[in-house]
Amino acid sequence: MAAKPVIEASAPLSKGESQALLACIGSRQLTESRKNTLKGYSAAVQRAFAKRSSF
Amino acid sequence: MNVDGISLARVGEVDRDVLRSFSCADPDLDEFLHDQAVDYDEHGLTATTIVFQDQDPVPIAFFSLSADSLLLEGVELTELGLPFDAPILFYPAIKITKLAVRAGMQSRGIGEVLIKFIQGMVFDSQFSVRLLTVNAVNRERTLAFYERVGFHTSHINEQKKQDRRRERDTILMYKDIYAE
Repeated sequence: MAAKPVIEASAPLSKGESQALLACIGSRQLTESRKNTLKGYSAAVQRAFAKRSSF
Repeated sequence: MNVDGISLARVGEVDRDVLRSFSCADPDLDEFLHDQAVDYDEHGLTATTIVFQDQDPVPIAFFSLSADSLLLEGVELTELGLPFDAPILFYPAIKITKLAVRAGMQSRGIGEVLIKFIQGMVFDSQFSVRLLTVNAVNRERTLAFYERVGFHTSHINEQKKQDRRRERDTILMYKDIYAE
């Protein structure tokens, strides 16, 4: 019996799913609000890594 | 939860005994962290980050990330929906290969914080990533968690669900990090 994979691949999306995904995200722009949110998360990550290395 | 109390470290920087002190009560995830995560990290297969809170010496969580892509099959370039011509055959992604919270600390919002951290790591990188993917363990609680933090279930799974002869172990889910 094959071993259970530790990392699994993402199966290709079907045509219908691809179209749905594209319709959903193809025209979506990164808004300023979302960009600021993601920048905030990035800053929190950097602080959290710096904190551990200072132990 | 208080994000200010969180600190992060790459798995290779954490003592093995500290890694072995962690348990999420899932034997597969525990075994991965205890015995495999360092090797997978060192060989460029999946990068594991260990999560600590305040002065607690036992990790409260960990997550592992690998490069991924979502292949787009049978799509005409005119259907891409982008505001310019982009003959791409896949969307670049990062896969959450492992994510676990310590037993006794689950259902406290730690998982949601980890998803935010992962989005921050991805957004801060010097390469383009549009989607997070995960092959979520096919348990109601796990699937509900990923849906709550903005993941969508791939329809592939619906097709395979119709095949009653075998229950899927995992469900492919994805999240657009640009989505509010």
